[in-house]
Amino acid sequence: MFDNFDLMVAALGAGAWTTVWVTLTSFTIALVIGMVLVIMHVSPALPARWAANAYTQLFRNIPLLAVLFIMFFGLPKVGIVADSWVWALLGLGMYTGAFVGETLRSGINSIPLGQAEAARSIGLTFGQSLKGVILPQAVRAVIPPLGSLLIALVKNSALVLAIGVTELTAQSRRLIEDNESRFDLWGVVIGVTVSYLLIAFVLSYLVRLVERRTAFVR
Amino acid sequence: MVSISGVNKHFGDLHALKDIDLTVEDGEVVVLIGPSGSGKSTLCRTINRLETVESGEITVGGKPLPAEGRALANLRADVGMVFQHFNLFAHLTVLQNITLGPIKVRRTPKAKAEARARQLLERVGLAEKADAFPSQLSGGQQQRVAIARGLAMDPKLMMFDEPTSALDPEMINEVLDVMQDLAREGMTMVVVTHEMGFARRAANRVVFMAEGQIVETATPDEFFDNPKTERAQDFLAKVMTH
Repeated sequence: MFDNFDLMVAALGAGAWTTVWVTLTSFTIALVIGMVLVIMHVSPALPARWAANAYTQLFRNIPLLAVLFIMFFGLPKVGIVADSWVWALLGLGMYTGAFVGETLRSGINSIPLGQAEAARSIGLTFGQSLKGVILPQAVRAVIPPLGSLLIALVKNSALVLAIGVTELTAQSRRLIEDNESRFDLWGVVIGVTVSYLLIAFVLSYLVRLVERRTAFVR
Repeated sequence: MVSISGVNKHFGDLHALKDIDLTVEDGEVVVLIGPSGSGKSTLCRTINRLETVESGEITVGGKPLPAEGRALANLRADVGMVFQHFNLFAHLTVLQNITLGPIKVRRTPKAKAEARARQLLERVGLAEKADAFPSQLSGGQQQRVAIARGLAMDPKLMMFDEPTSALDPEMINEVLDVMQDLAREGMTMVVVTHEMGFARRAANRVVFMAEGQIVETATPDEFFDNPKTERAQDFLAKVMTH
């Protein structure tokens, strides 16, 4: 088989584990941000809608790598210091949050206006009708596109190697550039490919489970 | 119960409501009829502020309509509304549809709200459908659930915005029967409808609207047997020929 197979598997395994938890943690951050954005988007208060729109335009229109660089190199210059993994999680989370917000918004737009009118007509407040009527239906409608965002995030998370977080892609580079050339190039390439595929398959499967559990007949 | 005076509303260039004055007394059943686009649905929807108005004053139970926020929510809780397209909450069972308002708005304990909901379902003839989802019901059944949902809030007033217009013909009567029982029990009702038979049997007063104005107000017998205005005569001639 490939040279130093055990060492390679251990290194890629550690990288894959970092990729998984960076993905899941930053996706959680993205979900929270997206939820806040969509509530601001549909709120009756104009400044809230403006702020949500500004955030979305900003983070949707600059490259993720630039977001990471601005945080990692820029923010310490103005006195905001943190570990690189903090910037990795925040950068991925804030960037993906803008997309989650837009996805949730399209979900809300897919709910017929009559649902909101009925909610208001029984005396629910804006917050109550969002929480009890609109969001539960919108979330179900957006689970498949959210799943796509999650998979995209797995791959986007490779960019955090640029600010020094050793995830799966960074590990593979380390193996390829190994000083003593202990690892076979094709072994690493196949290993990293299989690792990404495995992560994506497992996450897709979990998304499909969630989709099935929240399904309801329309 | 409801007092509307000098209300105006535009949709763009369309003057949808022109200087509307209307009062609805306690226990009265007022039926709004008129051709499509005459403003009757819009007028109905202004009473719980699903439509805002540009001028004029609306009071419900003696109090002017609050502009927004919790005060408006509280007012809406007291005004039941039944829509043309039912608008049952698609992700909730029939029982949950009915108990959502009582539990969230009235803070009724869940068990009590459910017992009351089952009572109401019994009353509209759908006791066995408590755990079904709206999509599993026929249109007529959905509309009866929607009426039960409105009644669960113990409203001072029930509004019906073309409640049978989206129904297959054979389901219209099951809904009208429930509404007629309600009327007989003394519920204050505002009903927008094209069902002339219902208007005749159940209404205390018929309000005929055309082009955003109230053209004629009369008892059902007066209105149907002896309409005063040419516009109403013309309308009745068109809808009563079949």
